[in-house]
Amino acid sequence: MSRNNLFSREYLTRRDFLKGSAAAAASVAVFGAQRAQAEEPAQKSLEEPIRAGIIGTGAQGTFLLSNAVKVPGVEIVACCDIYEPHLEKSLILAPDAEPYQDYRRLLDRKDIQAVIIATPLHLHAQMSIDAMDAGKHVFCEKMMAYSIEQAKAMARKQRETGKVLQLGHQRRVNSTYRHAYRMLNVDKVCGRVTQVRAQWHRNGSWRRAVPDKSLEKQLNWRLYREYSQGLMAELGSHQIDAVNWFLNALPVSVMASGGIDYWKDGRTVYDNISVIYEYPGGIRCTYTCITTNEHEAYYEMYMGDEGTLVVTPEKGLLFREPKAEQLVWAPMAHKDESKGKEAIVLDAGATRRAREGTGQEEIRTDASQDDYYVELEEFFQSVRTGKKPASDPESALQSCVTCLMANNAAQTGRKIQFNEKMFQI
Amino acid sequence: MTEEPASGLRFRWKAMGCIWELTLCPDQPDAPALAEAAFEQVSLAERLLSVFLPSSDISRINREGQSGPVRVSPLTLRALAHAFQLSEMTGGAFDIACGALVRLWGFEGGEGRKPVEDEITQALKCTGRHNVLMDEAAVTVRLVRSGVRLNPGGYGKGFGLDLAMEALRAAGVHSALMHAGTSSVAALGVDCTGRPWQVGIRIPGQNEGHAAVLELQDGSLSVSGISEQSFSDEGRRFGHVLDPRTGWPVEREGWAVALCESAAASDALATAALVLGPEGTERILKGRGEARVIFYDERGRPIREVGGGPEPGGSRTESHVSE
Ligand SMILES: NC(=O)c1ccc[n+]([C@@H]2O[C@H](COP(=O)([O-])OP(=O)(O)OC[C@H]3O[C@@H](n4cnc5c(N)ncnc54)[C@H](O)[C@@H]3O)[C@@H](O)[C@H]2O)c1
Repeated sequence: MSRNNLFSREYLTRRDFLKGSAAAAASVAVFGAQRAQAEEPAQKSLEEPIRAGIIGTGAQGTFLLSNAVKVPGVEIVACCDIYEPHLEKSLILAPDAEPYQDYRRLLDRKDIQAVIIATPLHLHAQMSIDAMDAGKHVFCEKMMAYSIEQAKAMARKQRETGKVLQLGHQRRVNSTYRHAYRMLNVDKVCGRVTQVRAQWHRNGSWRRAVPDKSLEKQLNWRLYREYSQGLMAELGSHQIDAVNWFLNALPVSVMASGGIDYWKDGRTVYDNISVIYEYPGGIRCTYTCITTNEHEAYYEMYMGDEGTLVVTPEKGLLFREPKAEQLVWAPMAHKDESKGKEAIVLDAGATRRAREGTGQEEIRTDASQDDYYVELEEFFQSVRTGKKPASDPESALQSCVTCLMANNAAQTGRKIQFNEKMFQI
Repeated sequence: MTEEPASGLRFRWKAMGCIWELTLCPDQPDAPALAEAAFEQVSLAERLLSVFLPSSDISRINREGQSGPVRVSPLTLRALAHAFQLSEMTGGAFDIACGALVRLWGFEGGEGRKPVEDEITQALKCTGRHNVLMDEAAVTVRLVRSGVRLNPGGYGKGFGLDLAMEALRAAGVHSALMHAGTSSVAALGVDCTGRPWQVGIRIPGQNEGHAAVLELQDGSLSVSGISEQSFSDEGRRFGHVLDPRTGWPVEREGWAVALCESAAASDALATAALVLGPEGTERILKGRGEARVIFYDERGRPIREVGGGPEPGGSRTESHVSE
């Protein structure tokens, strides 16, 4: 049979699968004609496309790439990875891209204006700095860098070159987070915040499959200290970034304890860590990250004298303290008498539903776009307009310092005092 | 449908509104990591195709596709092209451009309700793959009229299984079994004892034992049936499988089990088989040695097996009724 075998999996990998597709071919003709008529004016007003490349097409790179190809006015023209199977996968998502194994060859290309970097932590600084030196705008995955010095060097390079440098803390663009931020800081739904509790709990080894022992460190880089800063960098940095943001503050001290206590498989980063941060005004934040139990997975919880706000990328929940007054600004507040408790329905551009009879409120904001899409759309918008992205070098440096100091505290067993200089670029 | 208890390592995951399970052999190196890699693919499939995620490509097409071309992931375009080729092959008995009908009959997460004739005529105009235009060069999808909706219900889970199997195969795994909410199951190689994987088909209402045990090796199997998820109206019982050609639910009772290499294809074929019945299914499978369908009556007794021509391709089956 010369036609595609529809019953096999070859439709996933065959380069010419779409070309052999009668469905696609027939439609293209019709489509082409329609578009020429209806959309000519719109076509003309489109600006020159931004040509971009991606470095590191592993797990996260693939997610980013699948979103980047959807951003209007962007062409992904180059993919780079040193690991052949990952590079190949990226070409299915970006079939017109040129493959590279050496990122410097990609940076040599004069037609590329922007790069997305999703490589292991220890490479972020070198690659970002090289890219900015080559005149490219940079979207680099979190955590910003392996060390404070490297992160500062990146921030300085951004100032020197004036290029966009955006980091991958996608909670900064998440609509639930943005909404929750306003509720906490403008509407003051929790009253005075006195404590924060946050966690990211998983139950799993955090290992990647390795087809050959010689690839262990390359593929499982996040388990080894020479490449990775462990749980605080990979998971904690997202949440600690959010806490700094929500509290509009930086911590004054940190104590921590961690260890390799369960996954004794040769890894050199902690498999669990517990941290206590002290913020100005006596606000304490306890943070735990573990790999042996996933109950309640991940959240940040802000506790105040009038309420508790629990935030995750998927939803936010507000619990009012029994003694707190009814929120006068609630436009559609109603009482649920069934359990003698008050359920509040709020609507302020977001869909928020009361959970009946629990005195609890749910925030669900517009989830019509993937956070990865939104952050990349923002990045390319910044490339066009020069506008500062939400996850900028300053805030990313701050969360990087906040996380690395927790590791430092755990390793030395000392309470560490932060000072302004630590956060200064 | 359930797998037979096998001595293997089991991993579970929730995605696309159901439980997914992966079985790997006890001596499989890096098993947890492989499981994570497989489920990452399932999550990718969900992010692209789920109608329940507002940010998925399909949701975006359904929302914005009438007003202009919607940029999608090239992988989504592949899935759509594959699904549409399957519609063509089944003469429209399977068609993911049937969201308008699914919604009309209240099967989009709802209870089911009988619409009036006029509404069906209207929804039929918005049904069928000719309403969907794909531009391969621009990687966009557009809907030709308002009211058209894509519903990859009979395809998406299979697509997730295909991506996962491809990832496991690429990672050098020789033996694995994965199912999606027990409606589709895919196998790599043979089971941990060297025999073909044993897959039990359980017919609802018959709790003891399995209606049949099928063998699966390097292939996929999907089950579609009517007795679950149906509603009654004036004495007529309507199942949740719609015939996209007529706009009416299929009234045939019983079950169809489709087998071929790709789980997305077996998923689609099982649905089409219920719509087409044994004779119609035999006609479309003629000359395509790869795929086969086994029909069961509502009590789980095998009625007929069609397809599976001279070249049985990847999957091998043997069926028998067990107590
Ligand atoms: N924002 C998020 O939610 C999120 C989620 C996961 C990971 N990440 C971040 O993304 C980054 C990558 O993580 P991952 O999980 O994708 O890891 P990964 O190991 O799957 O991918 C990293 C890729 O970089 C490639 N690489 C290594 N050295 C390279 C070099 N010199 N040149 C080109 N490519 C090279 C590797 O071959 C690999 O394909 C990390 O910084 C991680 O923290 C972010």
